[in-house]
Amino acid sequence: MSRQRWRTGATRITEDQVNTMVARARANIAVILGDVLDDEAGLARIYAMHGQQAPAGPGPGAAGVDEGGQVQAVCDRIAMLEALLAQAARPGMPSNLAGMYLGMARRFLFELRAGLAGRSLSAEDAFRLLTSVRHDLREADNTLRREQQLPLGEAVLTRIGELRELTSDLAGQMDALAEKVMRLFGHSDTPSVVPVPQH
Amino acid sequence: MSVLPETVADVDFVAFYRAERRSLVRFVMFLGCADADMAEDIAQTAFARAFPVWGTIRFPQAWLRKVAQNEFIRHCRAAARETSLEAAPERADRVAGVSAAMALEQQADTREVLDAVIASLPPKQRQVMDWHWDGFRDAEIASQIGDSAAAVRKNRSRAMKKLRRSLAQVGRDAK
Repeated sequence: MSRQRWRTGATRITEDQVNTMVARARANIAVILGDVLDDEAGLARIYAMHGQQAPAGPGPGAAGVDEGGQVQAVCDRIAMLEALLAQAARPGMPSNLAGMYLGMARRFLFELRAGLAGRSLSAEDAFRLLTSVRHDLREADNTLRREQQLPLGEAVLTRIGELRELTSDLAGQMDALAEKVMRLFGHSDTPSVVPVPQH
Repeated sequence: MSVLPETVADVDFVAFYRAERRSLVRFVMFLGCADADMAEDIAQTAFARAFPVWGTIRFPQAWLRKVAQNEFIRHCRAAARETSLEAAPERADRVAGVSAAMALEQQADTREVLDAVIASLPPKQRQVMDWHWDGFRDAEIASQIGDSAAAVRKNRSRAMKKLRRSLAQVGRDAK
């Protein structure tokens, strides 16, 4: 990302632009923290404090298998999409129904990320969650499109247009994400890198 | 609460820890914690407190943030600074210097935004925005930081106005 990208050069910056910049910056920080934080050591400390032994590694037989940090990279990507959705679905958006769909999409993404991070997700569950996210994004866009036809104020219509751009962008990103997620399970041309349990 | 209640409640502690630890550390850093190692310790303390009562926590994301926030304030007070968040450092570059935050030095883009985000906001506005950017609604933030929803809304609105102005200024200066 070039330095210039943060300098939009515009004399006016919208709330959405601010939120998008911050979401990306925060996602970058999460990536950096992901590189330096040792989750297993942290968990071991907590369990030891309570006289227990931490569960072994990230999932059954999966210790140390995130070669190249591919699972982590996918989780980081999901976290960024979650952040963008959180901003899009904030209170005051022009459509409550679309907001509900975006909120549900975010919830499914969190479930996907938690499942991948904990190696507790089956390929079928991952596929179901990805499908649900895409469905909700599609429904949000359909809702917004319908509301765009209504005789609303210019500001509201502009905001709806911006949200449609965002949902469209997110839908595109979901295609790429789905491929990456399913590749983790070996559902692609490349071999599986993480033996996530197949229930 | 609307922030992932059902889903989160079903996620076990280990999975939740792996999924949310970085977000919690980042949350503490955005509150103004100058020391990334301390931010990590504070987040760890919050998780350690959650562990024995995990099954009773209904909204883990909010619960952990509230505990971490209180722990950060306690640290500030213990350091004999003035009071609570008022004592927090004002500049993002003071985050640099330790572990994770060192890498921020190399990320000029992020750094620049963080400067605008953190440095230009008063502590209360920064606190509200930190919760807001983590996906919490005004009413939820109000209940977690002990303010009214109207006060949260006002702070959020003022913070956003300031951020827009600051970032626009950055854009103009770059021309």
